[in-house]
Amino acid sequence: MKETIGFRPRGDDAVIITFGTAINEETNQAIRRFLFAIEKNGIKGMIEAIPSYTQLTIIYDQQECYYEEMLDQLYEIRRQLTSIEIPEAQTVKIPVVYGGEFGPDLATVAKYNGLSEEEVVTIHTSENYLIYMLGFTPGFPYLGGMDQKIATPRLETPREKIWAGSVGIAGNQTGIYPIESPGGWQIIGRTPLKLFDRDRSPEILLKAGDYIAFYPISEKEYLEMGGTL
Amino acid sequence: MKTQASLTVSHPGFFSLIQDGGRKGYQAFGVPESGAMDKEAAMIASLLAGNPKEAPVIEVTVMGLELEVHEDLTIAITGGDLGPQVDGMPVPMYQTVKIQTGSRLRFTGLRTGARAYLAFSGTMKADNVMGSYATYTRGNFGGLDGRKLEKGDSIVIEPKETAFKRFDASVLPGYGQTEIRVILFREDEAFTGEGIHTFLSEPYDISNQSDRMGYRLSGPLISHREGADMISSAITFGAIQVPGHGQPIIMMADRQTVGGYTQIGRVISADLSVLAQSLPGKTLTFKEVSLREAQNLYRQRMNQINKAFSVYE
Repeated sequence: MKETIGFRPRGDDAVIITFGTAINEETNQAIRRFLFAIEKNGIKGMIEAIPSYTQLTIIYDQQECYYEEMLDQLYEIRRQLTSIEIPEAQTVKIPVVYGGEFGPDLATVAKYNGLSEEEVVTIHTSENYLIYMLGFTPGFPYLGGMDQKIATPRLETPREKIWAGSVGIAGNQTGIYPIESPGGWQIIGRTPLKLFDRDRSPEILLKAGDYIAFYPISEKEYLEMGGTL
Repeated sequence: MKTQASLTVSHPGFFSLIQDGGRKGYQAFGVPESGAMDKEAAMIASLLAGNPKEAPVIEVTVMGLELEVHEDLTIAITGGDLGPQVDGMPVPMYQTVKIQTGSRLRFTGLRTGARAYLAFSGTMKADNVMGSYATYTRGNFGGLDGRKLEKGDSIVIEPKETAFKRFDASVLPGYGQTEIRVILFREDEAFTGEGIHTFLSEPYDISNQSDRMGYRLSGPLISHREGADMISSAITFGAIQVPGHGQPIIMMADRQTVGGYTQIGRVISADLSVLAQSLPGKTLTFKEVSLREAQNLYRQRMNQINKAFSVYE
């Protein structure tokens, strides 16, 4: 593993740590391991760490550390990686009302793939999806692992407004909209959970490196869980 | 807790926002950094006002903010010269100034730069979300209800006494500076030699499609080696993305945290202030510097800033 982890500057106050070029669970796990090692050891001058598919970007206070001083600390962490115990990834269960007004494109996804709506739901709820990273909007998860059998192209004309909590499919990806925004994903359902709630601690429900599992609920359960219409 | 207005917005201006040193530690969750576009000017305003260096300030863009003053306050204005006046009299910038109850503070028009920073001695009441007062308008949070200032808004300050201070602004770069220094991401090998040469030798105009999220530039096309997409990774302040159309976009305070366009390099920290004070229509050129040079330039700047304050008790 050690050989595949590299470092390079990203301007005068950032370093990117590279973990190869393959987007897969192993790469994600290596990034997660590095993050835990940073948490355990601490890095002098670090402001924050931003994980992405194959990289970890460290933003640092350049008045406190020159690049070379950051590198020395990162080399040290790389040396200690094999001895780091990392906790098992969490799986966050996401209740979803599928179809109807909550998932106006469920029929489209079913038809496109020659399946019934029930089959689409069964396939969508049968996987655990790895959260590779968060981005796009606050709390938006980039998920891996969706079954190709329900892959569907984006809408030709994006919608002006997608409700917060909407669960969608775009190509071979699935995702959840944390805040109301425009978007072109095929919307198959909606969760009452708030992926982003500024008044909650933590404000963001999901974390890179964890997993998501969807499960179907009724409209009544959606309302009981605090979902809004 | 005090709720009575210290100031009322009688004219909101073009785009006025409560900002601070930025939202730190949440980019891993997809939350943009936001904060002042010109972090140096915002910091200097806060320090002049006797506040912590990343305290909330009002970022006034281009023109027009007008405030009615309901209580005696000490203020400091830095950044672009937007013609600040109190009751028709020019207000000196880069020093503490006392303003009286019943007066009217107005930004009359742009002379230099693009953004002025207004700090009040004491504590400004604002919406703190994830450890920061910065307004992120696309997410509707921070600052004043997550939006720009509007007519009739109240601004509440818990004022405090502070020593009279001045800042010698001659240590700052002139906002007319057109050469922007960059560190190139040569190791990414995303661009052709010709593409890099074009970027470093040709002029680029800041287009009208520029805002707090990013500046779109227009100029000669920059050629990629193999396409404009890469595996999505973090986007830092000043990162220069080049999408498939070959025109660069410089990512600014409200940028997305991750993105999949190739990046040719990054503006050095010491030149971010000039960039933040540049408006659409300005023509920029780019010069490559080394990482160590960039880091030394930034340290030098910060040392000069620290030494440029004088305090009169």
